[in-house]
Amino acid sequence: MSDAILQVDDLVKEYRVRVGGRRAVLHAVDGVSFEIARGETVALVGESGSGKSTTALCILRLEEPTRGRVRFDGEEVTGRSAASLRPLRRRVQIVFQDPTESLNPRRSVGDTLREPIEWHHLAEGAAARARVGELLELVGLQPGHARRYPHQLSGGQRQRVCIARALATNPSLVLLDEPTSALDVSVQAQILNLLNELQREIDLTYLFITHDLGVVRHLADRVLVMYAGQIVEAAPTATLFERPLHPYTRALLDSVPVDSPSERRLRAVPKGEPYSPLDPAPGCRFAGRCPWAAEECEAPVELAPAADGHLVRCTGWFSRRVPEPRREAIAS
Amino acid sequence: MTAEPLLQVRGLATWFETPRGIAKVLDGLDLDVGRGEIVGLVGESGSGKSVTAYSVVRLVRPPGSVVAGRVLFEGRDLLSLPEGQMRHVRGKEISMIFQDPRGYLDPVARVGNVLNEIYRTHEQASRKEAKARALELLRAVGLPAPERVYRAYPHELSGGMAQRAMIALALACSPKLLIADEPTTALDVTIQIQIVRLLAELRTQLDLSILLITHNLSVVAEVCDRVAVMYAGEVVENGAAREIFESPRHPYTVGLLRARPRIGTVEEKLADIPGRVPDLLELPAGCRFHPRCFLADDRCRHEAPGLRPLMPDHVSRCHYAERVQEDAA
Repeated sequence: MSDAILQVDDLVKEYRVRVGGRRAVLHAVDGVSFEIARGETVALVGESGSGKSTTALCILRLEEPTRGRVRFDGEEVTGRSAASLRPLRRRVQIVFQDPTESLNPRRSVGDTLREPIEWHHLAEGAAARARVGELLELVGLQPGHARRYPHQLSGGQRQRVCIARALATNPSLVLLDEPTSALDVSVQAQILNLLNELQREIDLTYLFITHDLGVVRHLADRVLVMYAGQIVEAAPTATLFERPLHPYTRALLDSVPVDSPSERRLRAVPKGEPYSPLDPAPGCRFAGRCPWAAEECEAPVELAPAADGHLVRCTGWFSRRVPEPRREAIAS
Repeated sequence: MTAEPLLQVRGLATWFETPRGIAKVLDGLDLDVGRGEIVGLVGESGSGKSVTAYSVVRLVRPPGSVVAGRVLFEGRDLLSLPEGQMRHVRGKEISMIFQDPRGYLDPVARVGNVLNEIYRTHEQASRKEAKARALELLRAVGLPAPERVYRAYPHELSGGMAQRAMIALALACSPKLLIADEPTTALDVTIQIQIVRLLAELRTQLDLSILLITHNLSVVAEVCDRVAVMYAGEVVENGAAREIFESPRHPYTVGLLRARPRIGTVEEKLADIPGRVPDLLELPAGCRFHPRCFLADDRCRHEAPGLRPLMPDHVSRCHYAERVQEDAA
């Protein structure tokens, strides 16, 4: 993929922790590799502790990766001084889950939006103010909102401000870390529609981090499923929903509540609790919850191609112990 | 379920004093929970669904207070009980679980000790008997290693295990009604479905009635028999779950159902509900939903609709409930 805007190679982030007085290493992100093509929306899906947010923070170097390489537009992000990162930061931005926590309560919306514009010397004075008006309009707010403070806005409006702030520097890549999880259903739909429109209008690439498979289905071109610090499956969105190969992906899909009471059915509810990657064993991390686990799953297992553009990290799939997924499980 | 409902809320009004005036968070709410039923109370933030729960068990704190209405539980009005008797009702007859179990479990008490204490004080059980019953209950809520959880402190439990422990505590005295306030919202997807299933199983095994408060319509679709949809302090629609999902009769319900990104369907654009939830101090005249409604006309702007029966078991607070379906299409 020569038009890759982001390349992540064998990214590792370890934290040294103490658990009950014992030293241990938490492998928050453990050998994550993927690429994002220009204009694509890639969803990074997983449960809490799967390492999806840490991956995003490492890409931005808001967390320092332990090992691995991140390249943006062919340029190294890892291994550079913070000062030399500044021009890159202009082109990669992030929107966080909780807009209330990520806005300064003492700063007006206008000041919040002007800061990145001036910091990156994109415009000053009247030109900067005009740009603020433009940004507000872009995210569906009015120019008058520039004078407001966060507490005078609803949750949805605050998230629009956060999106406008991320767009202030004309980025090419925007990382979205659960941007609608703190919002009400009706407002979530507004924000998802806005993100969709923005992508069409101004040529954006998204890395969308979420635990919500409905959001994934709706927005993503391609999906990466993370479990305990590793990518366990990667596929185009339609493929992932129609033919989920990894037992964990199947468990995730089976866990999504039905759309309507008439669709209630008996499903295999996934057992057990998510794996915590503290000093992990070499084998498959999902084996403890997997209905098809066998002895061979204790050996190390890599992410490998199962079909064109479809990667899976599962020994049992390749040894044909894990059966083909049942279609009716996902049919609407 | 023709017998008298276990819980009948009638004309409940709970107001909060604020520096800007009185916020009528609830103002004339009616709600029933039948015996053995799971009733979903659905709404967005600020709709008054949690305040409803707190009002039922009389745990609304100042600046809020229940100013009118009746909460009939097995025919008795809880709002007129002396506090001493009410305390007996809470826990023994009605108990509650919350979104964040670890915030409600005593951080310095082992789970087993709390359960023991409940059995020893409320049921005068012997030490040995209390422990046996505690372990049995921990097993009943699906905890894989009850002995370990019995000795554990809350911080040693994962989110899902803590919620199961919380459910065990809530069920210790065999209450008739369990009020579950967003019990799965803080949990991971695979754990959420486990807890939802557990509630459904407990209902059957223990003959329990459940009032499930949630913003997640799909959780409702998974387990509820009946649904009450709340908007800006009012119930706007109430009926059998199947009815509500298949032929919703209030524009807000229609909007909520369509705004969900679902895994079974892919739309180019999600149907969002324009605008935002109104400020309870500046409620719009007429129907509270009219500024966001695709059906609104002059009548809606001036005349507040009442809850109207459309079928024996389906009510809607919309002047045009009969038209909602066609016009939404």
